[in-house]
Amino acid sequence: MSAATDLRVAGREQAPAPRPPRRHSGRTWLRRVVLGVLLTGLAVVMLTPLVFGFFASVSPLRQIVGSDPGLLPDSWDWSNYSDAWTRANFARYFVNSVVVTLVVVVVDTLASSMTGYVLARKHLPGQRVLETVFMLTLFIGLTTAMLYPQYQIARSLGIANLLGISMVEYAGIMIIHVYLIKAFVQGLGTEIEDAARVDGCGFFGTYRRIALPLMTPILVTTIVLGFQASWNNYQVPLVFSLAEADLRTLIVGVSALQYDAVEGMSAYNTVLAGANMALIPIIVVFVVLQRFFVRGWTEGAVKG
Amino acid sequence: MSRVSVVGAGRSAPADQRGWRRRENAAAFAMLGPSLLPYIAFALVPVGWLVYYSFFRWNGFTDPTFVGLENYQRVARDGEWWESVVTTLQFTGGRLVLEIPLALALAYVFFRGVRAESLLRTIYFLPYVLSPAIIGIIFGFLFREVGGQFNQILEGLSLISAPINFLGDATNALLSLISVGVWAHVGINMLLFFAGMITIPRELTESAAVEGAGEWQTFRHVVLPMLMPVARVVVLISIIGILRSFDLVKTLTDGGPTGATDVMFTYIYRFFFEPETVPQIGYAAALGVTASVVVGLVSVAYLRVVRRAEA
Repeated sequence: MSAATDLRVAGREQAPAPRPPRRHSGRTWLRRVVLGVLLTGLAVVMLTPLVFGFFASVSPLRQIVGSDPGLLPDSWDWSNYSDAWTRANFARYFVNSVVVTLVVVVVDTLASSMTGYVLARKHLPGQRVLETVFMLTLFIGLTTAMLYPQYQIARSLGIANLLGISMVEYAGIMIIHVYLIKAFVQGLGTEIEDAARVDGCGFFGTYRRIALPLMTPILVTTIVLGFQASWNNYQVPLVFSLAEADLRTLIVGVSALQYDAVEGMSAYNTVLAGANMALIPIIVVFVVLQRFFVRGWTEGAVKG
Repeated sequence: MSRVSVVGAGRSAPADQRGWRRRENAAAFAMLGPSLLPYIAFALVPVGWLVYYSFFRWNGFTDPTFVGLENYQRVARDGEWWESVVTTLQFTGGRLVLEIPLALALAYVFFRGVRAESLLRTIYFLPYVLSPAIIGIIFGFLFREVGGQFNQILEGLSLISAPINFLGDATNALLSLISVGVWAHVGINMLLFFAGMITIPRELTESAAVEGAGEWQTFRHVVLPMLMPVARVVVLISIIGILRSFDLVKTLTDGGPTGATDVMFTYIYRFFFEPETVPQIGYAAALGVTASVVVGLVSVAYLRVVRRAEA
């Protein structure tokens, strides 16, 4: 069912799988060493930019804007972070990021699970048309070009604020999540739900009391995907905060400061501290919940 | 009432049954509301909005003027726009040429089993989790010509004698964008290929080994053909995603130097939000619709090519 679990199990099984005896064991050994060097080298390449980005963020400003700054911090200077937090208003941006992400994840979990459940269990009049339209919008994908109308619509609805940012972001991720949930529910047996219906549970009650708890595995996946999409989103908060800097999320705040920094590089240390503040939460969540990310990516790609 | 009719639907009066069904459907429709409302307001209406205003001249403030197809005629003549389309295609081609073979090779290595598998996998996936906008900002810093970390490392290893101007030269800037894109996405493509490989029946690879096939032969003649259905989808998703790029390009080069790395959506963005004089909403909308058609055409062309190659 889930590619993640298969992936782990299969990965384990593969390693000790009996291999045909090779005559040139020396060559096999050499090949393993070369492969190990290449794989380690690639791991170094993947990590190097992040490590040096982090080192620069704890270096004194005069060092990183100098002509020969070296790779390691002259002295570990955490004041970049406290400066970013207090003087560059990043505390506010951080809170905005948390609020937007939280609203997206909560709305996503409730609204998408209801819609996915209805589409899996009902044959409503017009349902096929609705699902076709869902697919069309997914493939038309005007993405960045839609930001202007999205912002104008939010303004006319009176939600040109953090709530509006969350709703636009939710509209962007919702279709895939609904389909993941729909496919999951279709894979569940209906026996328990039928029993609840016989005992007098209405359609919504059956969803809330019976189906919702059973959906936990797929909802963990959509929560993780929603968190990634919303925390990292750049375009939506960028456009919403053009007229009102107080709506900036952490990522938009960092990029706005970087634009200023291009002029005199006066705030590069603050930019890098802010950039790392935006990266660290998702790195931590990723390392802890990796298997849910992996499951979400594989299922999202296969079904999407 | 309704409770009884659920169980004894067959025995209850038709009118009662209809009332029950109506209540059931009403509940179901109500449950669609919380996701349909944001969807309609922010995914469906904006599409119609863009198509509608692509036939108008409008600066976003005064009254729009209907101009028919004028905006589209201007798109056809807009040399800078088609340059950005070409850049987008170059970016896509460059990314795919590097990313897909590398991801395939890594997936196969993991498929055959390696040590420290889960640690390596975590490291390879990590860049994909991160915000492309922040990645652009950090790489922009590391790519600096004077004092940039990459130049320091390359000079330290004596690989170059003079610092490379990574972002200030048109070709270099595009190559830098491609490299960062590959860096960020090779892990996810590896994962998707791997997930496809583990569905291949084990007997096939085993019998290949028994018959004395080497690793390359096993990969080329057993794994790759079986993987094709998955690979086709993975590549298509990559193509669509890269054609729609915005965040990384915006923060790493912002289309620079002088528009040389503008991709479709960074070009369009300017007409909406960063105009030289006044916003040109109608024209930007026409560009957006055109971009969507370009993405559609490239996807269809790709699917035709792979289908022909397989036939």
